[in-house]
Amino acid sequence: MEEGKDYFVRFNWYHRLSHFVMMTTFIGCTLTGPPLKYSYDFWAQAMMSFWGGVHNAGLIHRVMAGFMVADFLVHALYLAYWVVIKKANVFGPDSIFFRKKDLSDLLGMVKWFFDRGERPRFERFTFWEKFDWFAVFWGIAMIGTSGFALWFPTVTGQFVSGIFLNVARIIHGDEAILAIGWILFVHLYNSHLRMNVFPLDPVIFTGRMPVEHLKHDKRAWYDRLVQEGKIKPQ
Amino acid sequence: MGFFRGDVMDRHCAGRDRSTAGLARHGRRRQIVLVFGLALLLVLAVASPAVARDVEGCLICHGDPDFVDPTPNAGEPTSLYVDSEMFGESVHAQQPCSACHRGFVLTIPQHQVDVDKDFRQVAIEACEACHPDAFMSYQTSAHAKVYYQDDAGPICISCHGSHAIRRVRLGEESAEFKMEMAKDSCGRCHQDKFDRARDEFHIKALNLGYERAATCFDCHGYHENLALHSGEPETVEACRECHPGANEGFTYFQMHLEPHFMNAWWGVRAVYLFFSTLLIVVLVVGIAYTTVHLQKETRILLGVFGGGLGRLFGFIRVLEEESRGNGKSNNPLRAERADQDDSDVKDETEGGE
Repeated sequence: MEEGKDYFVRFNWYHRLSHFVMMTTFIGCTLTGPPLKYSYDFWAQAMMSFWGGVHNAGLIHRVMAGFMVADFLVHALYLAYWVVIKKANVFGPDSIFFRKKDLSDLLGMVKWFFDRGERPRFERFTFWEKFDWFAVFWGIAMIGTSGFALWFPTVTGQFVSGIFLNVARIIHGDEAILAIGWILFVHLYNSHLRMNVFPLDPVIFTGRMPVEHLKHDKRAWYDRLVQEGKIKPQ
Repeated sequence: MGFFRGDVMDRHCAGRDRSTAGLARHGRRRQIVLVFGLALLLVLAVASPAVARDVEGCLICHGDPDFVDPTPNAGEPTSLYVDSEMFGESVHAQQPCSACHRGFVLTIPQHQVDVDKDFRQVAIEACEACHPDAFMSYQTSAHAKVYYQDDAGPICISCHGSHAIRRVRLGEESAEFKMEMAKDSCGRCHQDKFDRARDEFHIKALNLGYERAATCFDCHGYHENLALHSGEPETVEACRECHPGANEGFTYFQMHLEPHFMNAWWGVRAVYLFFSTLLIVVLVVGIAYTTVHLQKETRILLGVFGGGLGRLFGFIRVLEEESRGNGKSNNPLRAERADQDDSDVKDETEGGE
Protein backbone atom coordinates (compact mmCIF):
# COMPACT_ATOMS: atom_id res chain seq x y z
CA MET A 1 0.00 0.00 0.00
CA GLU A 2 1.15 3.48 -0.82
CA GLU A 3 1.88 5.97 1.92
CA GLY A 4 -0.33 8.99 2.39
CA LYS A 5 -3.30 7.42 0.70
CA ASP A 6 -6.72 6.76 2.15
CA TYR A 7 -7.86 3.17 2.10
CA PHE A 8 -11.22 1.68 2.84
CA VAL A 9 -11.60 -1.89 4.11
CA ARG A 10 -14.00 -3.43 1.68
CA PHE A 11 -13.59 -7.13 2.52
CA ASN A 12 -13.14 -8.62 5.99
CA TRP A 13 -10.91 -11.62 6.70
CA TYR A 14 -13.72 -14.09 6.09
CA HIS A 15 -14.49 -12.69 2.62
CA ARG A 16 -10.82 -12.88 1.69
CA LEU A 17 -10.32 -16.40 3.01
CA SER A 18 -13.50 -17.58 1.34
CA HIS A 19 -12.40 -16.20 -2.03
CA PHE A 20 -8.89 -17.61 -1.59
CA VAL A 21 -10.21 -21.11 -0.92
CA MET A 22 -12.64 -20.87 -3.83
CA MET A 23 -9.88 -19.65 -6.15
CA THR A 24 -7.28 -22.26 -5.24
CA THR A 25 -9.71 -25.18 -5.27
CA PHE A 26 -11.15 -23.97 -8.57
CA ILE A 27 -7.68 -23.84 -10.11
CA GLY A 28 -6.91 -27.28 -8.65
CA CYS A 29 -10.02 -28.81 -10.18
CA THR A 30 -9.45 -26.99 -13.48
CA LEU A 31 -5.94 -28.40 -13.83
CA THR A 32 -6.83 -31.99 -12.90
CA GLY A 33 -10.25 -32.49 -14.50
CA PRO A 34 -10.05 -31.49 -18.18
CA PRO A 35 -7.19 -33.88 -19.11
CA LEU A 36 -9.59 -36.76 -18.48
CA LYS A 37 -12.44 -35.15 -20.43
CA TYR A 38 -10.10 -34.42 -23.35
CA SER A 39 -8.17 -37.67 -22.93
CA TYR A 40 -7.34 -38.01 -26.62
CA ASP A 41 -6.04 -34.48 -27.14
CA PHE A 42 -2.29 -34.03 -27.41
CA TRP A 43 -1.94 -32.05 -24.18
CA ALA A 44 -3.92 -34.40 -21.97
CA GLN A 45 -1.18 -37.02 -21.61
CA ALA A 46 1.44 -34.42 -20.61
CA MET A 47 -0.90 -32.79 -18.11
CA MET A 48 -1.77 -36.14 -16.53
CA SER A 49 1.90 -37.09 -16.31
CA PHE A 50 2.51 -33.82 -14.50
CA TRP A 51 0.17 -34.97 -11.73
CA GLY A 52 1.65 -38.45 -11.74
CA GLY A 53 -1.17 -40.25 -13.47
CA VAL A 54 -4.94 -40.51 -13.45
CA HIS A 55 -5.09 -41.85 -9.90
CA ASN A 56 -3.23 -38.90 -8.37
CA ALA A 57 -5.06 -36.33 -10.48
CA GLY A 58 -8.34 -37.89 -9.37
CA LEU A 59 -7.27 -37.70 -5.75
CA ILE A 60 -6.29 -34.03 -6.04
CA HIS A 61 -9.54 -33.30 -7.88
CA ARG A 62 -11.60 -34.86 -5.08
CA VAL A 63 -9.68 -33.19 -2.25
CA MET A 64 -10.04 -29.82 -4.00
CA ALA A 65 -13.74 -30.46 -4.58
CA GLY A 66 -14.17 -31.31 -0.90
CA PHE A 67 -12.63 -28.02 0.21
CA MET A 68 -14.64 -26.10 -2.37
CA VAL A 69 -17.93 -27.58 -1.17
CA ALA A 70 -16.90 -26.96 2.46
CA ASP A 71 -16.19 -23.32 1.55
CA PHE A 72 -19.60 -23.12 -0.08
CA LEU A 73 -21.37 -24.62 2.94
CA VAL A 74 -19.65 -22.19 5.32
CA HIS A 75 -20.76 -19.36 3.03
CA ALA A 76 -24.34 -20.66 3.13
CA LEU A 77 -24.19 -20.50 6.94
CA TYR A 78 -22.72 -17.00 6.73
CA LEU A 79 -25.60 -15.89 4.52
CA ALA A 80 -28.13 -17.53 6.80
CA TYR A 81 -26.58 -15.65 9.74
CA TRP A 82 -26.99 -12.30 7.96
CA VAL A 83 -30.45 -12.92 6.59
CA VAL A 84 -32.07 -14.82 9.48
CA ILE A 85 -30.33 -13.57 12.61
CA LYS A 86 -29.12 -10.08 11.65
CA LYS A 87 -32.24 -9.49 9.49
CA ALA A 88 -30.12 -7.81 6.82
CA ASN A 89 -31.95 -6.04 4.01
CA VAL A 90 -31.61 -8.59 1.21
CA PHE A 91 -32.49 -6.11 -1.53
CA GLY A 92 -30.76 -3.14 0.02
CA PRO A 93 -27.78 -1.29 -1.46
CA ASP A 94 -25.26 -3.29 0.62
CA SER A 95 -26.67 -6.63 -0.50
CA ILE A 96 -24.99 -8.95 -2.98
CA PHE A 97 -28.38 -10.25 -4.13
CA PHE A 98 -29.69 -9.07 -7.48
CA ARG A 99 -32.14 -6.17 -7.46
CA LYS A 100 -33.85 -3.91 -10.01
CA LYS A 101 -30.98 -1.40 -10.16
CA ASP A 102 -28.65 -4.08 -11.57
CA LEU A 103 -30.69 -4.28 -14.76
CA SER A 104 -30.55 -0.51 -15.27
CA ASP A 105 -26.81 -0.61 -14.41
CA LEU A 106 -26.29 -3.22 -17.13
CA LEU A 107 -28.15 -1.10 -19.67
CA GLY A 108 -26.21 1.95 -18.45
CA MET A 109 -22.91 0.10 -18.96
CA VAL A 110 -23.89 -0.89 -22.50
CA LYS A 111 -24.84 2.73 -23.25
CA TRP A 112 -21.51 3.88 -21.81
CA PHE A 113 -19.65 1.36 -24.02
CA PHE A 114 -21.06 3.15 -27.06
CA ASP A 115 -20.67 6.69 -25.71
CA ARG A 116 -24.40 7.04 -25.17
CA GLY A 117 -24.27 7.98 -21.52
CA GLU A 118 -22.29 8.22 -18.31
CA ARG A 119 -20.83 5.29 -16.51
CA PRO A 120 -23.46 4.05 -14.01
CA ARG A 121 -22.96 4.95 -10.37
CA PHE A 122 -22.49 1.58 -8.78
CA GLU A 123 -23.37 0.55 -5.26
CA ARG A 124 -21.31 -1.77 -3.07
CA PHE A 125 -21.48 -4.64 -5.58
CA THR A 126 -21.56 -4.16 -9.34
CA PHE A 127 -23.78 -6.49 -11.32
CA TRP A 128 -20.82 -8.46 -12.71
CA GLU A 129 -19.57 -9.05 -9.17
CA LYS A 130 -23.05 -10.18 -8.22
CA PHE A 131 -23.20 -12.47 -11.21
CA ASP A 132 -19.85 -14.08 -10.35
CA TRP A 133 -21.09 -14.66 -6.82
CA PHE A 134 -24.40 -16.07 -8.04
CA ALA A 135 -22.62 -18.31 -10.57
CA VAL A 136 -20.89 -20.12 -7.70
CA PHE A 137 -24.29 -21.25 -6.40
CA TRP A 138 -25.31 -22.53 -9.81
CA GLY A 139 -21.90 -24.15 -10.31
CA ILE A 140 -21.84 -25.89 -6.96
CA ALA A 141 -25.39 -27.11 -7.41
CA MET A 142 -24.68 -28.50 -10.89
CA ILE A 143 -21.01 -29.51 -10.84
CA GLY A 144 -20.96 -30.45 -7.16
CA THR A 145 -24.04 -32.64 -7.25
CA SER A 146 -23.06 -34.38 -10.47
CA GLY A 147 -19.51 -34.74 -9.19
CA PHE A 148 -20.61 -36.51 -6.02
CA ALA A 149 -22.93 -38.71 -8.08
CA LEU A 150 -19.95 -39.78 -10.20
CA TRP A 151 -17.65 -40.09 -7.19
CA PHE A 152 -19.99 -42.61 -5.53
CA PRO A 153 -21.65 -44.29 -8.52
CA THR A 154 -23.04 -47.28 -6.64
CA VAL A 155 -24.68 -45.00 -4.05
CA THR A 156 -26.23 -43.09 -6.96
CA GLY A 157 -27.44 -46.44 -8.27
CA GLN A 158 -29.27 -47.05 -4.99
CA PHE A 159 -31.47 -44.02 -5.55
CA VAL A 160 -31.79 -43.48 -9.29
CA SER A 161 -31.27 -45.43 -12.49
CA GLY A 162 -27.70 -45.78 -13.76
CA ILE A 163 -28.58 -43.66 -16.80
CA PHE A 164 -28.30 -40.66 -14.45
CA LEU A 165 -24.57 -41.36 -14.31
CA ASN A 166 -24.50 -40.60 -18.03
CA VAL A 167 -26.54 -37.48 -17.31
CA ALA A 168 -24.19 -36.51 -14.47
CA ARG A 169 -21.20 -36.82 -16.76
CA ILE A 170 -22.77 -34.47 -19.31
CA ILE A 171 -23.66 -31.89 -16.65
CA HIS A 172 -20.30 -32.11 -14.89
CA GLY A 173 -18.29 -31.63 -18.08
CA ASP A 174 -20.45 -28.95 -19.71
CA GLU A 175 -20.82 -26.88 -16.58
CA ALA A 176 -17.10 -27.14 -15.86
CA ILE A 177 -16.28 -25.79 -19.31
CA LEU A 178 -18.83 -23.02 -18.77
CA ALA A 179 -17.28 -22.12 -15.42
CA ILE A 180 -13.72 -22.19 -16.76
CA GLY A 181 -14.72 -20.14 -19.81
CA TRP A 182 -16.52 -17.59 -17.68
CA ILE A 183 -13.61 -17.22 -15.27
CA LEU A 184 -11.10 -16.91 -18.12
CA PHE A 185 -12.96 -14.49 -20.35
CA VAL A 186 -15.11 -12.47 -17.98
CA HIS A 187 -13.91 -12.69 -14.38
CA LEU A 188 -10.21 -12.42 -15.20
CA TYR A 189 -10.93 -9.52 -17.56
CA ASN A 190 -12.83 -7.67 -14.85
CA SER A 191 -10.26 -8.26 -12.14
CA HIS A 192 -7.04 -7.96 -14.16
CA LEU A 193 -7.46 -6.20 -17.49
CA ARG A 194 -9.88 -3.35 -16.82
CA MET A 195 -7.79 -0.20 -16.91
CA ASN A 196 -8.95 0.76 -13.43
CA VAL A 197 -7.39 -2.37 -12.00
CA PHE A 198 -4.67 -3.47 -14.45
CA PRO A 199 -2.60 -5.57 -13.84
CA LEU A 200 -4.42 -6.89 -10.77
CA ASP A 201 -7.09 -5.70 -8.39
CA PRO A 202 -5.61 -6.66 -5.02
CA VAL A 203 -8.74 -5.72 -3.04
CA ILE A 204 -9.95 -9.32 -2.71
CA PHE A 205 -6.62 -10.33 -1.15
CA THR A 206 -5.79 -7.25 0.92
CA GLY A 207 -9.39 -6.24 1.60
CA ARG A 208 -8.34 -2.61 1.21
CA MET A 209 -9.36 -0.32 -1.59
CA PRO A 210 -7.95 3.19 -2.22
CA VAL A 211 -10.76 5.65 -1.55
CA GLU A 212 -9.84 7.45 -4.77
CA HIS A 213 -10.41 4.24 -6.71
CA LEU A 214 -13.64 3.63 -4.83
CA LYS A 215 -14.88 7.08 -5.82
CA HIS A 216 -14.44 6.37 -9.53
CA ASP A 217 -15.51 2.75 -9.53
CA LYS A 218 -18.50 2.74 -7.17
CA ARG A 219 -19.75 6.31 -6.98
CA ALA A 220 -23.09 5.63 -5.29
CA TRP A 221 -21.44 3.64 -2.53
CA TYR A 222 -18.78 6.31 -2.11
CA ASP A 223 -21.42 9.02 -1.73
CA ARG A 224 -23.26 6.91 0.84
CA LEU A 225 -20.07 6.21 2.81
CA VAL A 226 -19.19 9.91 2.84
CA GLN A 227 -22.71 10.75 4.00
CA GLU A 228 -22.46 8.15 6.77
CA GLY A 229 -19.11 9.63 7.75
CA LYS A 230 -17.25 6.37 7.19
CA ILE A 231 -14.73 7.88 4.78
CA LYS A 232 -13.30 11.32 4.23
CA PRO A 233 -14.38 12.88 0.92
CA GLN A 234 -11.59 13.05 -1.64
CA MET B 1 31.67 -63.48 -29.63
CA GLY B 2 34.14 -66.09 -30.79
CA PHE B 3 36.59 -63.35 -31.59
CA PHE B 4 36.77 -62.22 -28.00
CA ARG B 5 37.28 -65.69 -26.68
CA GLY B 6 40.13 -66.26 -29.20
CA ASP B 7 41.61 -62.93 -28.29
CA VAL B 8 41.81 -63.93 -24.65
CA MET B 9 43.28 -67.33 -25.56
CA ASP B 10 45.97 -65.78 -27.75
CA ARG B 11 47.06 -63.51 -24.97
CA HIS B 12 47.02 -66.38 -22.55
CA CYS B 13 49.29 -68.48 -24.76
CA ALA B 14 51.63 -65.62 -25.47
CA GLY B 15 52.03 -65.07 -21.75
CA ARG B 16 53.53 -68.56 -21.24
CA ASP B 17 56.94 -67.56 -22.50
CA ARG B 18 57.23 -64.62 -20.18
CA SER B 19 59.22 -64.35 -16.93
CA THR B 20 57.60 -65.09 -13.53
CA ALA B 21 57.30 -61.40 -12.66
CA GLY B 22 55.80 -60.76 -16.05
CA LEU B 23 53.42 -63.64 -15.48
CA ALA B 24 52.00 -62.13 -12.31
CA ARG B 25 51.44 -58.82 -14.05
CA HIS B 26 50.10 -60.55 -17.08
CA GLY B 27 47.75 -62.60 -14.88
CA ARG B 28 46.07 -59.47 -13.62
CA ARG B 29 45.78 -58.12 -17.12
CA ARG B 30 44.29 -61.41 -18.22
CA GLN B 31 41.73 -61.17 -15.44
CA ILE B 32 40.71 -57.69 -16.56
CA VAL B 33 40.39 -58.81 -20.16
CA LEU B 34 38.36 -61.82 -19.03
CA VAL B 35 36.02 -59.75 -16.91
CA PHE B 36 35.50 -57.28 -19.77
CA GLY B 37 35.00 -60.10 -22.20
CA LEU B 38 32.40 -61.77 -19.98
CA ALA B 39 30.61 -58.49 -19.38
CA LEU B 40 30.49 -57.87 -23.11
CA LEU B 41 29.16 -61.39 -23.68
CA LEU B 42 26.45 -60.78 -21.09
CA VAL B 43 25.47 -57.47 -22.66
CA LEU B 44 25.33 -59.06 -26.10
CA ALA B 45 23.25 -61.97 -24.77
CA VAL B 46 20.73 -59.62 -23.13
CA ALA B 47 20.60 -57.07 -25.93
CA SER B 48 20.40 -59.56 -28.78
CA PRO B 49 16.90 -60.19 -30.12
CA ALA B 50 15.12 -63.25 -28.81
CA VAL B 51 15.37 -66.06 -31.30
CA ALA B 52 12.78 -68.81 -31.61
CA ARG B 53 13.85 -72.27 -30.54
CA ASP B 54 13.55 -73.83 -33.94
CA VAL B 55 14.19 -77.50 -33.04
CA GLU B 56 12.42 -78.75 -36.14
CA GLY B 57 14.16 -76.48 -38.56
CA CYS B 58 10.93 -75.04 -39.96
CA LEU B 59 12.35 -71.55 -39.94
CA ILE B 60 15.11 -72.55 -42.34
CA CYS B 61 12.51 -71.99 -45.04
CA HIS B 62 9.74 -70.13 -43.21
CA GLY B 63 12.19 -67.64 -41.78
CA ASP B 64 12.80 -66.28 -45.28
CA PRO B 65 10.70 -63.14 -45.88
CA ASP B 66 10.34 -64.05 -49.57
CA PHE B 67 9.04 -67.55 -48.88
CA VAL B 68 5.65 -67.91 -50.60
CA ASP B 69 3.25 -70.67 -51.51
CA PRO B 70 4.41 -71.67 -55.00
CA THR B 71 1.07 -73.31 -55.95
CA PRO B 72 -0.19 -71.40 -58.98
CA ASN B 73 -3.28 -69.93 -57.34
CA ALA B 74 -5.27 -67.01 -58.59
CA GLY B 75 -4.14 -63.66 -57.34
CA GLU B 76 -1.20 -62.80 -55.09
CA PRO B 77 0.92 -65.72 -53.83
CA THR B 78 0.34 -66.40 -50.12
CA SER B 79 3.29 -65.54 -47.92
CA LEU B 80 4.47 -68.40 -45.72
CA TYR B 81 6.97 -66.24 -43.85
CA VAL B 82 7.15 -66.33 -40.04
CA ASP B 83 9.12 -63.53 -38.41
CA SER B 84 11.42 -65.50 -36.13
CA GLU B 85 12.25 -62.46 -34.01
CA MET B 86 8.57 -61.72 -33.41
CA PHE B 87 7.86 -65.37 -32.64
CA GLY B 88 10.88 -65.47 -30.34
CA GLU B 89 9.32 -62.73 -28.22
CA SER B 90 5.94 -64.42 -28.07
CA VAL B 91 4.69 -66.49 -25.16
CA HIS B 92 5.01 -69.65 -27.30
CA ALA B 93 8.66 -69.07 -28.20
CA GLN B 94 9.73 -72.26 -26.44
CA GLN B 95 7.15 -74.42 -28.21
CA PRO B 96 8.07 -76.35 -31.35
CA CYS B 97 6.02 -75.44 -34.44
CA SER B 98 4.31 -78.81 -34.46
CA ALA B 99 2.81 -78.18 -31.02
CA CYS B 100 0.21 -76.03 -32.73
CA HIS B 101 0.56 -77.07 -36.37
CA ARG B 102 -0.73 -80.53 -35.59
CA GLY B 103 -1.27 -83.16 -38.22
CA PHE B 104 1.54 -81.91 -40.38
CA VAL B 105 4.18 -84.40 -41.37
CA LEU B 106 7.75 -83.36 -41.82
CA THR B 107 8.45 -83.84 -45.49
CA ILE B 108 10.38 -81.66 -47.84
CA PRO B 109 8.75 -79.92 -49.53
CA GLN B 110 6.12 -79.69 -46.81
CA HIS B 111 2.70 -79.98 -48.33
CA GLN B 112 0.97 -82.47 -46.08
CA VAL B 113 -2.30 -80.79 -45.15
CA ASP B 114 -5.15 -82.69 -43.58
CA VAL B 115 -7.70 -82.03 -46.30
CA ASP B 116 -10.61 -83.35 -44.21
CA LYS B 117 -10.28 -80.52 -41.74
CA ASP B 118 -10.29 -76.92 -42.70
CA PHE B 119 -7.76 -74.47 -41.40
CA ARG B 120 -10.06 -72.93 -38.78
CA GLN B 121 -10.88 -76.26 -37.23
CA VAL B 122 -7.21 -77.21 -36.99
CA ALA B 123 -6.46 -73.85 -35.43
CA ILE B 124 -9.17 -74.21 -32.81
CA GLU B 125 -8.07 -77.72 -31.90
CA ALA B 126 -4.48 -76.59 -31.57
CA CYS B 127 -5.40 -74.05 -28.91
CA GLU B 128 -7.85 -76.35 -27.16
CA ALA B 129 -5.14 -78.99 -26.63
CA CYS B 130 -3.28 -76.81 -24.14
CA HIS B 131 -6.00 -74.35 -23.04
CA PRO B 132 -9.10 -76.50 -22.39
CA ASP B 133 -10.62 -74.10 -19.81
CA ALA B 134 -10.40 -71.09 -22.08
CA PHE B 135 -11.86 -73.17 -24.85
CA MET B 136 -14.80 -74.24 -22.66
CA SER B 137 -15.54 -70.61 -21.84
CA TYR B 138 -15.30 -69.71 -25.51
CA GLN B 139 -17.84 -72.38 -26.41
CA THR B 140 -20.54 -70.61 -24.39
CA SER B 141 -19.86 -67.28 -26.08
CA ALA B 142 -21.69 -65.46 -28.84
CA HIS B 143 -18.48 -65.74 -30.85
CA ALA B 144 -18.60 -69.58 -30.75
CA LYS B 145 -22.29 -69.57 -31.62
CA VAL B 146 -21.58 -67.82 -34.90
CA TYR B 147 -18.65 -70.11 -35.54
CA TYR B 148 -20.56 -73.33 -35.01
CA GLN B 149 -23.70 -72.19 -36.86
CA ASP B 150 -22.27 -70.45 -39.86
CA ASP B 151 -18.59 -71.43 -39.79
CA ALA B 152 -17.94 -67.70 -39.59
CA GLY B 153 -17.10 -65.40 -36.72
CA PRO B 154 -14.03 -65.22 -34.60
CA ILE B 155 -11.98 -68.18 -33.38
CA CYS B 156 -9.05 -68.02 -30.91
CA ILE B 157 -6.55 -66.61 -33.37
CA SER B 158 -8.95 -63.93 -34.61
CA CYS B 159 -8.41 -62.05 -31.34
CA HIS B 160 -5.15 -63.45 -30.03
CA GLY B 161 -3.21 -63.59 -33.28
CA SER B 162 -0.99 -66.58 -33.98
CA HIS B 163 2.78 -66.18 -34.04
CA ALA B 164 3.05 -63.03 -31.93
CA ILE B 165 0.89 -63.84 -28.88
CA ARG B 166 2.26 -61.79 -26.04
CA ARG B 167 3.12 -62.83 -22.52
CA VAL B 168 0.53 -61.26 -20.22
CA ARG B 169 -0.37 -62.06 -16.65
CA LEU B 170 -4.13 -61.99 -16.07
CA GLY B 171 -5.11 -59.08 -13.85
CA GLU B 172 -1.75 -57.39 -14.35
CA GLU B 173 -2.23 -56.14 -17.87
CA SER B 174 -0.70 -52.76 -18.65
CA ALA B 175 -2.93 -49.87 -19.71
CA GLU B 176 -1.26 -49.88 -23.14
CA PHE B 177 -2.08 -53.56 -23.62
CA LYS B 178 -5.68 -53.12 -22.52
CA MET B 179 -6.09 -50.13 -24.83
CA GLU B 180 -4.50 -52.00 -27.71
CA MET B 181 -6.73 -55.04 -27.20
CA ALA B 182 -9.83 -52.84 -27.12
CA LYS B 183 -8.82 -51.02 -30.26
CA ASP B 184 -7.21 -53.73 -32.36
CA SER B 185 -8.81 -56.95 -31.17
CA CYS B 186 -12.35 -56.04 -30.13
CA GLY B 187 -12.51 -52.81 -32.11
CA ARG B 188 -11.49 -54.51 -35.34
CA CYS B 189 -14.97 -56.06 -35.60
CA HIS B 190 -16.86 -53.91 -33.10
CA GLN B 191 -15.56 -50.57 -34.31
CA ASP B 192 -18.80 -48.73 -33.51
CA LYS B 193 -18.93 -50.11 -29.97
CA PHE B 194 -15.31 -49.17 -29.35
CA ASP B 195 -15.74 -45.67 -30.77
CA ARG B 196 -18.69 -45.07 -28.45
CA ALA B 197 -16.97 -46.55 -25.38
CA ARG B 198 -14.06 -44.19 -26.06
CA ASP B 199 -16.23 -41.31 -24.94
CA GLU B 200 -16.81 -42.81 -21.51
CA PHE B 201 -14.53 -42.37 -18.51
CA HIS B 202 -13.27 -45.98 -18.41
CA ILE B 203 -11.53 -45.93 -21.77
CA LYS B 204 -10.56 -42.28 -21.40
CA ALA B 205 -8.73 -43.08 -18.15
CA LEU B 206 -7.20 -46.18 -19.69
CA ASN B 207 -5.92 -44.06 -22.55
CA LEU B 208 -4.04 -41.92 -20.02
CA GLY B 209 -2.31 -44.95 -18.52
CA TYR B 210 -4.71 -45.88 -15.71
CA GLU B 211 -4.41 -49.66 -15.85
CA ARG B 212 -7.17 -50.24 -13.29
CA ALA B 213 -9.77 -48.79 -15.65
CA ALA B 214 -11.91 -51.42 -17.32
CA THR B 215 -11.45 -52.26 -20.97
CA CYS B 216 -13.85 -54.37 -23.11
CA PHE B 217 -12.90 -57.75 -21.68
CA ASP B 218 -13.05 -56.62 -18.06
CA CYS B 219 -16.84 -56.35 -18.38
CA HIS B 220 -17.64 -58.68 -21.27
CA GLY B 221 -15.28 -61.45 -20.15
CA TYR B 222 -12.15 -62.82 -21.77
CA HIS B 223 -13.74 -65.75 -23.54
CA GLU B 224 -17.40 -65.70 -22.56
CA ASN B 225 -17.96 -62.46 -24.48
CA LEU B 226 -21.24 -61.70 -22.77
CA ALA B 227 -23.61 -59.31 -24.51
CA LEU B 228 -24.44 -57.51 -21.19
CA HIS B 229 -27.85 -55.84 -21.24
CA SER B 230 -29.06 -53.40 -18.58
CA GLY B 231 -30.94 -55.01 -15.70
CA GLU B 232 -29.70 -58.56 -16.29
CA PRO B 233 -28.01 -60.52 -13.46
CA GLU B 234 -24.82 -61.17 -15.43
CA THR B 235 -24.48 -57.43 -16.06
CA VAL B 236 -24.78 -56.77 -12.32
CA GLU B 237 -22.05 -59.37 -11.78
CA ALA B 238 -19.83 -57.72 -14.40
CA CYS B 239 -20.20 -54.27 -12.76
CA ARG B 240 -19.55 -55.75 -9.31
CA GLU B 241 -16.07 -56.84 -10.39
CA CYS B 242 -14.97 -53.25 -9.78
CA HIS B 243 -18.02 -51.65 -8.13
CA PRO B 244 -18.91 -54.04 -5.29
CA GLY B 245 -22.07 -52.14 -4.34
CA ALA B 246 -23.58 -52.24 -7.84
CA ASN B 247 -27.25 -53.14 -8.00
CA GLU B 248 -29.69 -53.68 -10.83
CA GLY B 249 -30.41 -49.97 -11.25
CA PHE B 250 -26.69 -49.28 -11.61
CA THR B 251 -26.55 -51.37 -14.78
CA TYR B 252 -28.76 -48.86 -16.61
CA PHE B 253 -25.62 -46.80 -17.04
CA GLN B 254 -24.88 -46.81 -20.78
CA MET B 255 -21.34 -47.43 -21.92
CA HIS B 256 -21.91 -47.24 -25.67
CA LEU B 257 -23.88 -44.08 -26.38
CA GLU B 258 -23.64 -42.49 -29.81
CA PRO B 259 -22.08 -39.08 -30.30
CA HIS B 260 -24.64 -36.44 -29.25
CA PHE B 261 -26.47 -39.25 -27.41
CA MET B 262 -28.70 -39.98 -30.40
CA ASN B 263 -29.42 -43.55 -29.24
CA ALA B 264 -29.99 -42.59 -25.60
CA TRP B 265 -33.10 -42.11 -23.51
CA TRP B 266 -34.78 -38.78 -24.37
CA GLY B 267 -33.95 -37.44 -20.90
CA VAL B 268 -30.23 -37.68 -21.66
CA ARG B 269 -30.71 -35.87 -24.97
CA ALA B 270 -32.78 -33.16 -23.29
CA VAL B 271 -30.13 -32.57 -20.62
CA TYR B 272 -27.40 -32.54 -23.25
CA LEU B 273 -29.32 -30.05 -25.40
CA PHE B 274 -30.10 -27.79 -22.44
CA PHE B 275 -26.59 -27.65 -21.03
CA SER B 276 -24.89 -27.30 -24.41
CA THR B 277 -27.19 -24.41 -25.26
CA LEU B 278 -26.60 -22.82 -21.88
CA LEU B 279 -22.84 -23.19 -22.31
CA ILE B 280 -22.85 -21.52 -25.70
CA VAL B 281 -25.32 -18.74 -24.86
CA VAL B 282 -23.69 -17.74 -21.56
CA LEU B 283 -20.16 -17.75 -22.95
CA VAL B 284 -21.14 -15.87 -26.12
CA VAL B 285 -22.96 -13.19 -24.11
CA GLY B 286 -20.09 -12.98 -21.59
CA ILE B 287 -17.40 -12.71 -24.23
CA ALA B 288 -19.44 -10.20 -26.29
CA TYR B 289 -19.93 -8.03 -23.19
CA THR B 290 -16.21 -8.19 -22.37
CA THR B 291 -15.30 -7.32 -25.95
CA VAL B 292 -17.42 -4.16 -26.08
CA HIS B 293 -16.10 -3.21 -22.65
CA LEU B 294 -12.57 -3.65 -23.98
CA GLN B 295 -13.23 -1.48 -27.05
CA LYS B 296 -14.54 1.33 -24.85
CA GLU B 297 -11.53 1.19 -22.56
CA THR B 298 -9.13 0.99 -25.49
CA ARG B 299 -10.71 4.11 -26.96
CA ILE B 300 -10.38 5.89 -23.63
CA LEU B 301 -6.69 4.93 -23.51
CA LEU B 302 -6.13 6.10 -27.08
CA GLY B 303 -8.36 9.13 -26.65
CA VAL B 304 -10.56 8.35 -29.65
CA PHE B 305 -14.11 9.69 -29.57
CA GLY B 306 -16.74 10.59 -32.09
CA GLY B 307 -19.89 9.22 -33.58
CA GLY B 308 -20.76 6.21 -35.68
CA LEU B 309 -18.17 4.63 -37.89
CA GLY B 310 -15.83 7.57 -37.42
CA ARG B 311 -15.16 6.17 -33.98
CA LEU B 312 -14.01 2.89 -35.44
CA PHE B 313 -11.93 4.48 -38.22
CA GLY B 314 -10.42 6.97 -35.81
CA PHE B 315 -9.53 4.05 -33.60
CA ILE B 316 -7.78 2.26 -36.48
CA ARG B 317 -6.03 5.43 -37.66
CA VAL B 318 -4.64 6.15 -34.21
CA LEU B 319 -3.39 2.59 -33.85
CA GLU B 320 -1.73 2.84 -37.28
CA GLU B 321 0.00 6.09 -36.41
CA GLU B 322 1.16 4.77 -33.07
CA SER B 323 2.62 1.70 -34.77
CA ARG B 324 4.57 4.04 -37.07
CA GLY B 325 6.07 5.58 -33.99
CA ASN B 326 4.19 8.86 -34.39
CA GLY B 327 2.71 9.48 -31.00
CA LYS B 328 1.07 12.82 -31.92
CA SER B 329 -1.92 12.40 -34.10
CA ASN B 330 -3.57 14.83 -36.43
CA ASN B 331 -6.75 12.92 -36.09
CA PRO B 332 -9.56 15.30 -35.14
CA LEU B 333 -11.32 12.40 -33.45
CA ARG B 334 -8.49 11.99 -31.07
CA ALA B 335 -8.46 14.35 -28.12
CA GLU B 336 -5.76 14.73 -25.56
CA ARG B 337 -6.84 13.13 -22.33
CA ALA B 338 -6.26 16.23 -20.21
CA ASP B 339 -8.56 18.26 -22.46
CA GLN B 340 -11.44 15.92 -22.01
CA ASP B 341 -14.37 17.27 -20.13
CA ASP B 342 -16.17 13.98 -20.30
CA SER B 343 -16.33 13.09 -16.63
CA ASP B 344 -16.53 9.33 -17.11
CA VAL B 345 -13.35 9.39 -19.17
CA LYS B 346 -11.65 11.36 -16.46
CA ASP B 347 -12.88 8.90 -13.92
CA GLU B 348 -11.47 6.00 -15.83
CA THR B 349 -8.05 7.48 -16.46
CA GLU B 350 -7.62 8.90 -12.99
CA GLY B 351 -8.85 5.77 -11.40
CA GLY B 352 -6.13 3.66 -13.01
CA GLU B 353 -3.51 3.09 -10.37
